[in-house]
Amino acid sequence: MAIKCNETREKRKSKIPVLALAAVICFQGSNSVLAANSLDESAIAPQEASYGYYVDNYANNNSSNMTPESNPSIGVLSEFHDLWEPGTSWDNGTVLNEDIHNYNIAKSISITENRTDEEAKAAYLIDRRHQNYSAIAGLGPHADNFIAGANAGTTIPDEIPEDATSVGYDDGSNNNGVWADQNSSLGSMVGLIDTIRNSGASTSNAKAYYSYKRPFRWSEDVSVIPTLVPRIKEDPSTDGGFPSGHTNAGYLASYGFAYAVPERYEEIMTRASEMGNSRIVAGMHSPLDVIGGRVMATAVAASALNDPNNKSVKDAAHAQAHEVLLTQEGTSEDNYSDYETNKQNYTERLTYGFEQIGDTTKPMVVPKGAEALIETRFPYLDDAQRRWVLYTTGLPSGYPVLDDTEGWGRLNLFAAAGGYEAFENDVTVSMDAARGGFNEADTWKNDIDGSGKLTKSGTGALTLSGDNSYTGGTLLEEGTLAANSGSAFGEGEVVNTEGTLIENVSNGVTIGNNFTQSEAGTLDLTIGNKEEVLDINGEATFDGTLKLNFTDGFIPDADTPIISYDALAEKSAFSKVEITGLPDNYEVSYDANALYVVDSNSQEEEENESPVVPPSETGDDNNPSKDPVTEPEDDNASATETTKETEETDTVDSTTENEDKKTPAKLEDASKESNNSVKPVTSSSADGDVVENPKTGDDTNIILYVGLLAASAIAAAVVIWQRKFRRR
Amino acid sequence: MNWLQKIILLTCLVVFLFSLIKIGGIGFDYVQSEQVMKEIQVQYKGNLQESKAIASENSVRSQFQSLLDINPNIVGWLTIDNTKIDYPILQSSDNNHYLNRNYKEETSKSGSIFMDFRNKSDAQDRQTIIYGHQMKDGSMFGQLDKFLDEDFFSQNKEFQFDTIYESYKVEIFSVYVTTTDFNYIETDFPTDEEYLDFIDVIEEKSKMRTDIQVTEKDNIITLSTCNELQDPEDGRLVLHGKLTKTN
Repeated sequence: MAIKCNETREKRKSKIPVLALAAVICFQGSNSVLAANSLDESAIAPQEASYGYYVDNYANNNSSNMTPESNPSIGVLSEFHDLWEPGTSWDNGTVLNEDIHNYNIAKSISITENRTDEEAKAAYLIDRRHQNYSAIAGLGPHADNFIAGANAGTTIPDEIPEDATSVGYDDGSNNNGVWADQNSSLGSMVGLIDTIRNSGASTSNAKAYYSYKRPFRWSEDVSVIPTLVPRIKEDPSTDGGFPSGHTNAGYLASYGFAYAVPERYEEIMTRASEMGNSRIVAGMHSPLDVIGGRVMATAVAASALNDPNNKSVKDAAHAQAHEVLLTQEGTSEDNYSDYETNKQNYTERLTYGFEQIGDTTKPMVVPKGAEALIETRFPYLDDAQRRWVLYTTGLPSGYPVLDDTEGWGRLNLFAAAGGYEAFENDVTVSMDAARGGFNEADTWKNDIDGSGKLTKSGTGALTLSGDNSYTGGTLLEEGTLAANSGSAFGEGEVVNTEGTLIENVSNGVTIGNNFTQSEAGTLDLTIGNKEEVLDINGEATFDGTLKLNFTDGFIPDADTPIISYDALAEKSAFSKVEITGLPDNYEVSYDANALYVVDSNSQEEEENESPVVPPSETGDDNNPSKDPVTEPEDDNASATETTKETEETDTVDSTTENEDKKTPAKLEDASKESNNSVKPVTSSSADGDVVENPKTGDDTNIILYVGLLAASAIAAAVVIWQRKFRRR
Repeated sequence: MNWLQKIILLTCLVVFLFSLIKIGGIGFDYVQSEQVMKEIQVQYKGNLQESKAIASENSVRSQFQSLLDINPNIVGWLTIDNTKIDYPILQSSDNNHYLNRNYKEETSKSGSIFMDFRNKSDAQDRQTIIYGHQMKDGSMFGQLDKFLDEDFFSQNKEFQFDTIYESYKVEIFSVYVTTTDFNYIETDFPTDEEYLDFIDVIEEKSKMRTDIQVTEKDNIITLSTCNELQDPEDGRLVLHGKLTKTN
C-alpha cells in the first residue's frame, strides 16, 4: 500500500527554483501582437513575384498573357521550370530533373496499379460531375441539406452506367442546367463559390504554356480507368497535364465552402485533396499536375476573397451558412469524421513523397492576402495574426514546384485551421463570446512551440489541445482557457487574473513553471482518477476560486494529490472552494508540496482501507450513470452530488496547527501499517500506489474432497477385508 | 468387530459422507452458476436479435438496455467462440467486489467477469483489463488456457468485445503465462513511448507469434486469470488483443 507521509513524499518532476511573484505585475493585456521575442513583423511581410502580387493581378490570367511575368497563373507555377523546359509543341519539351520526373510518373503508375474498385468509382464520379457538386461532400452531415437547399444537382448517377466504357457521359447538372441555384435558399453560398470559380481561375493558359503531358502519354503503364477512356482527348496537342484543372476547380469550390462553413475547414480541405488525388487514381494526372492545381487554386481563391468587390458576396455566404444551413440538423453521412485520418491524407498529398530538391532552410513566406482564406476560421484574430498562423503552419522549403516567390505553394491550410504551430512572438487573443461561433469557443489543435507568450482576454473560451512547448508563459485575463492535453500550457509560467482556467485531461496537466491565480480567478479541475493531477513545476500562489468536479465515482485517497507544486507561496490559499461529486465532509488540505482532498470525518476508517479502494460505502450498490458525455459514474458520486462551498477564512499551509486535523500528517501511522499488508504484486501508479492483481483462481477443493472420498472408502474397505480375512 | 475397527469404520463413513456432500455442493454451485449465467445469456442473445435499429454513437445500445436494469454495473459483454466465454462484464469501484459476486450481486464462487475499476467503461483507455476466475469446470476464464495450444490459437485468433456503446473486434497478439511479479495491469500510459515499450515487452513474452501491428494509436484489451503453471498462488495467464471498432 502506498500511503506515504507528507514529509517523505517525493516530487515526480525536478524542482525549479522559486521565482519572484513580482512577475505578475508585469502582465498588462494588450490587444495586438506585442513586440517580438524572436521574429519581427518583417517575417510575415509579403514578397512580390515577377508578375506582381497574385491578389492584385489575378485578372491577368487570360490567353493574351502567356509568360510567367505577365500571367500570374503561369508565374505562380514557374518553379516547374526547374524540372521541365516546355517545348514548342506538346511532345518536344525537355525534362530537366530526371529524378523528379521519373518519380512523378512512377508514382502515377503505382497509384493507378493499386487503386481499388471503390477508388476507381469515386474517381469516375469526380471526373464526370461538376467539381462544385463533388466538393459538397466536404460538408459531411450538412451535404444533403445543402443539396436540397441550393437545389444542387447532377445527372451523373451514383452507380456508373454499364456502357460508360464506350459512352462519354456529361453532367447536365440540375433542372436549370447549373450545379446549384443562386436564387435558392442557399443562393448566397452558391454565389460565393461561383464568384471564386469565375475569378481568372482557368488552368487552360498554364496548361498550354507548360505543355507537360498527361501521365498515360508518358507511360503505357499508367492505366486510365476504363470508364474514362472515352473521355481521353484524341488531340494531345491541346491536352496538357500540368496543372490539373479538376484539382484546381475542386480546391476553389472547397475554399468557398470552407469560408462559408469554417466549422468544417479541415474536412472540406480533406475532401478537396481527395478530389485532387482522384485525378491520379483515374490515370488522368500525375502528382505534380495535382500539386500545381492546388497551388494555383489557393492563390485564385485568396484573390477572390480579397477583392473588395466580393465583400458582400462572401459575407452573405458566411451568414447564410450559419443562419440557414447549420441551423438544420445534419443528416448525411460524414466520410471525413476522423481528424487524424484527414490530417494524414491531406499532409501526404501536399508533397506526394517528393524529396526536397532546393534549399530546405528558407524561412516561410506568407503571400499577400492569403490571410483572407482563414478570416472566418479565426474571426477573433487580426490579419497580422492570421498571417502568423499561416507562417507557422507552412511547409518547409525545397519541395518541387512549391517554392514560388510569394509562398502560395508552401501554405498548409489544413494545419492552419488548427491554429498557431508556434508563438514566434507574444500573442494576445481577444474573444468576445457575445459574437458567437469561434468567438465564443474555439480549439487550437496544433502542437505549439516558440518563445512567445499567450495572453487570453475577452469572454470567449479557448481550448488548447496540442502537445505544446512554447516557453513564454500564459496569461489568462478573462474568459476561459482550457487544457485538453497534459502539456497544453507549454513550458512557461501560468497566471490567471480574472479568467477560468479549466483542466479536463485524464492524465492530468503539467504547468512548466510557476502558477499564480488572483482573487478574481477560477481554477476548475475535473478529476476522474488519481492520475488527474495538476502538476505545477514551480511555486504555486493560490487565491480566488477552486472548483473540483469529481467524476466517474472517483474518491481520492487522502494521499492522492489534486494539485502538486514545488512550493507554496506564503499564506497562499484559495479563498473559495467548491467541490462537486463528493460527500459534504470532504475538504481541501494544503501541505508543502501538494493540495489534497480529505474526508474530515473518517480518519479511523481510512486506516483500514486500501489506498486504491474507495471508502466502503462505495461498494455494493453502484449505479453508474451511463451518460457518455459525463462518462460513467458510480452512485457514490451521483448520489452525493451536492455542491459544497466552503469559504475559507484562514490561510493554511504546512506549518499551521490546523494541519493535524487534516489527513496528510496523520496518515503517517496508517501508511506504515498498511504498507505491511501490501502484497508484492503488480501495478503501481506513478505516485507509488499499488493496485493488486486480483486473485482469480478457483478455490474449490474438489480434488481434496474426491481424495478424501476415495481414501475413506479405501480405509473402510481395508478394515472390512481385514475382518473377513481374520475370520477365516 | 472390535471397537477400534468400529471407530475407523465410523470415521470413514463420516469422512465419506462429508466429502460426498462437499462434492455435491461444489457441483451444485457450478450448475447453479451456469443456470444464472444462462438466464442473462438468453436475454442478451434475444436482445441482439431484436435490436435492428442502429444506435447512434455514444448512447447505450439497445441490447444492453434491459441488462442495465438488472445491474447498472454491467459495462459490456465478452464472447469468445469455441470456449464457454459468453459473459457480461461488470465493473465496480474496486477489483474485489466481483471476485465473488455474480451479476445479480449474489455471493458466488465463480464471481463475475469484471473490468479493472481504473478503466473507463467505454474502453477508451489504452489498456482495458478484464479479469475472471479460472474455474475448474471451465466456466468464466477456465478455458482461457486453450489459447496456449498452438492449434487452438491458430484457429481462434479473434473474438468479440462489446461495451454498452460500441462493438470491437479483438485480434489476439500475445498470450503467455507469468506471475504477478510482472506488472501488466497498468491502465495509464502517460507517453506514447511508455505504451510502445509495454507493447514490445508483452509481444516479446508471448508464446505465440503474430503479425498484428499495434501502434500508439491502438487500444488493447487484456484478459487476465489465474494459472498454476508458474506459481500456484501468483501465477497468471494473460491474453492481449488489439481493439478495432466494428459496426
